[in-house]
Amino acid sequence: MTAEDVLSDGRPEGTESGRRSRSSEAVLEVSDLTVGFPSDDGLVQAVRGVDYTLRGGEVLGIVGESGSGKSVTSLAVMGLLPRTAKVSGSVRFRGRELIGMSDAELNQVRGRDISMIFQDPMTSLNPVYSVGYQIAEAVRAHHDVSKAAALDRATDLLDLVRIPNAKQRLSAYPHELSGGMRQRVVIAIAMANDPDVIIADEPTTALDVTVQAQIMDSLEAAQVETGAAMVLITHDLGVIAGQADRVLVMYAGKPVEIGTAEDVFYTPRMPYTFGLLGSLPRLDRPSERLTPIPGSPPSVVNMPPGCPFTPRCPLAVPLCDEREPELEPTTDAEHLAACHRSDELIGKTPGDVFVTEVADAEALAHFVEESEELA
Amino acid sequence: MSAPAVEKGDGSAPAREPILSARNLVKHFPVRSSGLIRRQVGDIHAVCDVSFDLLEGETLGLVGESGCGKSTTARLVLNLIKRTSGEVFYGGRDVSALSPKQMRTLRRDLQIVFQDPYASLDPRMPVNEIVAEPLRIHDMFDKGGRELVRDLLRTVGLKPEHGNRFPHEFSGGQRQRIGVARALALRPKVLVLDEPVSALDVSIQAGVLNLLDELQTELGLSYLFVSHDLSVVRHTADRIAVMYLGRIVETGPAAALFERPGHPYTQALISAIPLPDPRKERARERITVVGDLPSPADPPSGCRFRTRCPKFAAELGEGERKRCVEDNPQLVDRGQGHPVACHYAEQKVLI
Repeated sequence: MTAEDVLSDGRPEGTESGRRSRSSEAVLEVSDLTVGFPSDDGLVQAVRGVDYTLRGGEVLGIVGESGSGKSVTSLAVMGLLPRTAKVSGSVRFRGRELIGMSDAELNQVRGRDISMIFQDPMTSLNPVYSVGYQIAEAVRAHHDVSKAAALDRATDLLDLVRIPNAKQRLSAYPHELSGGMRQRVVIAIAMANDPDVIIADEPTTALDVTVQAQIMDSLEAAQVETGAAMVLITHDLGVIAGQADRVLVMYAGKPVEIGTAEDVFYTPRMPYTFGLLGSLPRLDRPSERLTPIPGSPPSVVNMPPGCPFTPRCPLAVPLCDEREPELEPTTDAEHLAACHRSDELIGKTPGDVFVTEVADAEALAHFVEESEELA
Repeated sequence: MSAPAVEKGDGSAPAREPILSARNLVKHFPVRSSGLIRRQVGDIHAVCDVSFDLLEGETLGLVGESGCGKSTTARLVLNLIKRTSGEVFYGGRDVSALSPKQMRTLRRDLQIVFQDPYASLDPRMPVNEIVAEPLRIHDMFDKGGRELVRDLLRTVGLKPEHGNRFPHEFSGGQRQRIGVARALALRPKVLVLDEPVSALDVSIQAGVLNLLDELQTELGLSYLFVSHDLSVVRHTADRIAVMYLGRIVETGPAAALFERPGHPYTQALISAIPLPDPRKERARERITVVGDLPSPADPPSGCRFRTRCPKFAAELGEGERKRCVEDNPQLVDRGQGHPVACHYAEQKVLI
């Protein structure tokens, strides 16, 4: 069996499934997914009802700040959460329900149908095995091929993710590679079995920008090669703008806006999205005053009713405290937002929604006076 | 002013006096062998011949990727680590030649805000005490320091009632504000900001940036702003110095540097930053560098960027490359309107 044969054994829709051709067929359907972790203070509701559909070959970007539940969502999809986690809802891969599957069954799906790229390549690779062994291991986990054939495939994969001298690198150990190289090895492992879905959780966060650009190139190459759909989780709105076909914005464990990249970046319909965009210093235009979101994200333990963004939202009305808004279609059926006042946001800019914070002038004047007396 | 002038080369900078100047700063860290007798086996060339002027009331951004020596430079400027050679002038005096006692007086004027708001505040001290500590050290607290601390906390956007709380009771953004308040307590003239917002989420980061901006205007502060994030530096800095492997490779006014970068590294850096604008981002020209940062223990000869330089790899002929290998390019104006350390500097419009 040659390396090429490895790819095409018994895949239902053949290897030509993708090449980044987007089909409207859903490969991954997540509905009403919730994840809770019991703690001494009560149930930590890390994910409070996530719904999304990933279509063949598309890139879905998930953005949100730390603690918004974006990573926990994908761990739940992969069945990688600890046993103490309370998971409910449904995750279907090509119609097959993944929630409630045994580990043995899940192992048939993980790595073969859905694979994952984690943030830190140093902890996701095994330090005591060579990278060639680890890639070959991934190939042999799902295909009955000889070691030699698996290593051939490993060489091809390293070539694909643009690691120079791939053949020599097979015998290298993770610590001998730089951070960027390691992450490319992780990408090679993720695409080893030609998966239909790749979940990339902050794949470039720990890396410098020039290396980040190289990794995004490798990731694109991986996606084109396998034709896989991708869930790209990141807090970097720039990466999302460049890669994602559709964007899902998460806040306090729930999606608050979902739409095409253009919808979300140019015509957001949820105050939180406005806040995120207005907070970003921009490279492409002279500096304007930033519009930060006041306050900080809520604790997801014992959450009060109502919209969790209310305490930070300049548009909050009494209704917002009473009832949490559903994710509903806006003017466009594909563009959904969870905000009671979403219709009033048409044509607004972040500066219209948020006030630019000003330091307490009186306190500052006092401070200047007092410090001059002291000196 | 006893600091010899360096060529500013931008022409547009207002004729303000430099408040802080670095001249030919060099820092080597020893590399020691493992084993019982830890012989020195080499040097990490962390900072190599770095010179710059910080003008009064301006923000100078020092940018580069991890390992480029930007934080080491910031610490050298404050004399927090000993320099290998070179001078730092503040108010006409060479800072690095001062005795510890003289240095302490100077610390009133030169303060620093650190990157990690979790590590830079003493977890066992209430916030009031953290902010009051510099005043106590300089024997200024008894003359009304309590009031000053209250006003300072209000100024940075914290409630004075929360002064008795401990750092762990605050969020990352609030802690960074405490760090800013502490740095301001002595009314310094220069603030060194070492990655002040890197540990914060974007929505929180914006608030701290706005605060720093406002404090600068109101208090007439000069900032040395160290960051790896080009977008943040573009937003805050008046002038920018780009560092690579211990050297400044390009410096100039923020707008000019971003609109017409001349050094291949600056160009690669700018084009590697994804823009949060789908249409613009997908239509951009990309300049990618290959490989990873070489070891600072054994930097490449000549131009330190040549091993990763897209221009060196694709555009230059054999004879031209020889110059990059043998000859370290000086940081001078090569017709770009600002100094660039590349023999073959060429402007490119990337945004």
